[in-house]
Amino acid sequence: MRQYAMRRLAYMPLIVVVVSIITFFTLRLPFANDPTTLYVNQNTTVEQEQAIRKELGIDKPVFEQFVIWMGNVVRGDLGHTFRSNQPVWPEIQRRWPVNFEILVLSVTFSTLFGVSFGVITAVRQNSITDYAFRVFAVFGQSIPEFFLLILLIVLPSLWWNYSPPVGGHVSIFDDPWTNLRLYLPPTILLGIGGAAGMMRLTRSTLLEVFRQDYMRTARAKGLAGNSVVLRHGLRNALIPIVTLLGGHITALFFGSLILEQIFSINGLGQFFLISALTSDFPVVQFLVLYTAVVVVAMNLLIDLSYAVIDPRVKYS
Amino acid sequence: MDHENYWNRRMRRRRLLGGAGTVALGGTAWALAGCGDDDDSGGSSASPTSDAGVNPGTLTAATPTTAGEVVKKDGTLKSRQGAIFASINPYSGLDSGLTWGFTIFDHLWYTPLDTGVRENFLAASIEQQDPLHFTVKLQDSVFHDKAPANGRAVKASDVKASLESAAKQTKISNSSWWTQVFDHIETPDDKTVNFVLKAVDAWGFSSTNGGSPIASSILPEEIAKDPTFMDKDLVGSGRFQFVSHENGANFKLKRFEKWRVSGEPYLAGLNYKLVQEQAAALAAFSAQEIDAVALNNKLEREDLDKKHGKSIVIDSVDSRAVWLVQTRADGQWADPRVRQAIYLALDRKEMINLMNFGEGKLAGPVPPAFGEAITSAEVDATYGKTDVAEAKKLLGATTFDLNKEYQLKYIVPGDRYQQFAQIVQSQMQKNLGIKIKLVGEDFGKWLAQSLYGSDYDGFITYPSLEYDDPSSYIGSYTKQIGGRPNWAAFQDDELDGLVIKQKTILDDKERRAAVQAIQKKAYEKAAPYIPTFIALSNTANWGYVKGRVVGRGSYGLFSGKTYIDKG
Repeated sequence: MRQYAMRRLAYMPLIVVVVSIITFFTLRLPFANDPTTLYVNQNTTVEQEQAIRKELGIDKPVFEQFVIWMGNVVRGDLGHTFRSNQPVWPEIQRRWPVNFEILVLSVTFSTLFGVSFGVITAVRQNSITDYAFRVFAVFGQSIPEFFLLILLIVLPSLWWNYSPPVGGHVSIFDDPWTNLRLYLPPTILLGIGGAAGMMRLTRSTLLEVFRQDYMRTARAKGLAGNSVVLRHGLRNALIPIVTLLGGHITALFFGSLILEQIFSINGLGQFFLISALTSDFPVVQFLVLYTAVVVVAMNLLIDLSYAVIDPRVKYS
Repeated sequence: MDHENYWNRRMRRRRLLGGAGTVALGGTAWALAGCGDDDDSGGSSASPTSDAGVNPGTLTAATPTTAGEVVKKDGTLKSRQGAIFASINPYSGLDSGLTWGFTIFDHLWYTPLDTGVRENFLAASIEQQDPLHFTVKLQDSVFHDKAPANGRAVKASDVKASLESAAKQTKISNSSWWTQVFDHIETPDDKTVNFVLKAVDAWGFSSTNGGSPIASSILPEEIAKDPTFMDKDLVGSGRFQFVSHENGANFKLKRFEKWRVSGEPYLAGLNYKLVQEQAAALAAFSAQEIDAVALNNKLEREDLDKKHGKSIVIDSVDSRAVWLVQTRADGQWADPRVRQAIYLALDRKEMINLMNFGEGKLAGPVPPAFGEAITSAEVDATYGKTDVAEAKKLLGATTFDLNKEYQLKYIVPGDRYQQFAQIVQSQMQKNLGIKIKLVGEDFGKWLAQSLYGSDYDGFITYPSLEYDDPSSYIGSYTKQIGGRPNWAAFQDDELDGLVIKQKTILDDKERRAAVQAIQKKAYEKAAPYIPTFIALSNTANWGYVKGRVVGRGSYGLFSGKTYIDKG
């Protein structure tokens, strides 16, 4: 397995470089946005525009720009943002705690609700409980997140003049109550929304597993119902669930843009969106590197987890 | 003409703007910068519009400090921040420039909207030797106690360095006064600032020009020489000191105890809280997480009024942003009959109904709030007129190509920009058969490439900025706008000459007449900047926010007498 992991990791730099090249040159295609346009006013002369271009480092030939940028990245220098003139890496670091908390809470809730409801509906197939949870799942998947989150703000305001705290991220260590008031309701809601798909997948996979011979054997041996379902059934149903979960985690690594926007949380999602809209090249280029690394790493972790979940899976 | 007298008396008298004009300057400026809500609009109060151009809204009487009221110092005012700032550097963005200009930085003077009379701030006196020279004597004042100024006195050299640096900045939304009128400053001693101008400009002291809350901000000389310092920290000599921010949001400011006005500001601090969605802002206001909120329309106003009654105060004022339709003036658009047809085919009342639930006013190029605006009767007969039959006839007599699909460029994101663009598209198609493809562009590209660079094939739509002098509204008729060729490729010698000339007329009455004549002339010539209407702006405040200065435009933001009284 180690060899397999090393081989997969060896591909990572290649993937990162290829993706970076594509992004770098796409951003600079003639029809793409020229970032200089953000930094001029009606009095700006052509000479001043050229000076801005130089200041941003986009006055040189594109290939030369790429070589300079790649060289800097290899040395650990990700450059400065165009918009705030701050080093890119600290800008990311400062926003990371926000997204880490959203990621942990959302994944926890979606897994908790999704897997537990999936198990319940599989065990009680075709019962009223099963139908009720399946209806809930259809709703959960069909109602857009932004609508649910807006309701989470509007309804408490209408009923009790309540609002989630505004004023930015508060660390859970500094003020746990405010932190949880800010993050808990939306992440529970997102968790419920995200749980819908996981519940359906858990249910269908478990039902498939329940029909296997080894499940019949476990029951015939007289094992307790819980033990049959959780130890023998759920474990064998975990591979697709983990795959889905991996996708959720990967997506949340880039921030939950809608949650951030509606709850006015200044996290990575908003940072990346605004940077992309304003052609903030150093940030967008870093984002692509980050995306490539996260996707490759998460896929590898998921693949390796298969062998842990199911000993029959061997990597050679 | 007695120039000395001219410069020291009222430049012009405007109608009272009232209420939330203070918020409006920043608000609309931010909106146009793509950094905030596109909420120029709003409803009005149920009260009839007064002669002063003010809709008093509900319960405005509770807002100001009443006689005998005990001032309670040390409260913190919580304001909404609608969008994340790209940078805290005031030289990098309109949003940060305006916010800090009203709080952290001091200025030599400011010209309130309602009186048009310049008021001295840091300036102890201003003497005008001739239209190209004036001398400012400074009061005593000190910078905030932070590096690199460390609480030292403000000197004339700081003013020189600040203003000359601001004039060179490309990222500030400076008016052309800074490049075409302002020349340089001489400082014979620490307390004397001699301004030298290149050209006469009767509007020079307005807050659009030499009194700009951004460009006239006084920085320590060390910072003015290296403005990148402000990417990380802000040091001024204004009423409030910069404390902290969270990646361009959630700013905290505290009172500057050595502010030159003793005993002020009453507030111990200002907290700007990031609230991006309007629904979240309304909820935050109702929960008193923020103390004021701008309202999008009359439905929101009525809802809040019903919910909170006399506990809140809602100010409703005429916006100074005019929704504009801009065509081209070259190629087949050069025939004035084409542009006249478009003037006549636009149904402004339908626009007001669709965008503002019927609450808005028809406008000429200069918004009705200004004394220099043409009368509403004149607007009705000219800019406000809709005559589809005549429009078709005019267009039919030209060689205008109706088989072609034209562009209409507007700013994204922003629901209202899109809504206005869609209405124009629909009216042009329905009334004239002009096919239009909507092209939404992010603000930077739209502004620099499409508007400033005249890169559009047909139409461009936007609300004008909320300028503080009427000259700026008619500035688009000149052959050169700022340092660039006319945005619509409109090259009219007569209008160009008239606009340039009015800036040099130092007599108030004559200049007002000249501005009005230009507006009428622009209609006759079907200038390609077609004004449609202005919306009304509503702002709700909790009644416990006392001592607010209302009705004085952005000047109210300089007040140090606001305080919180929660009983």
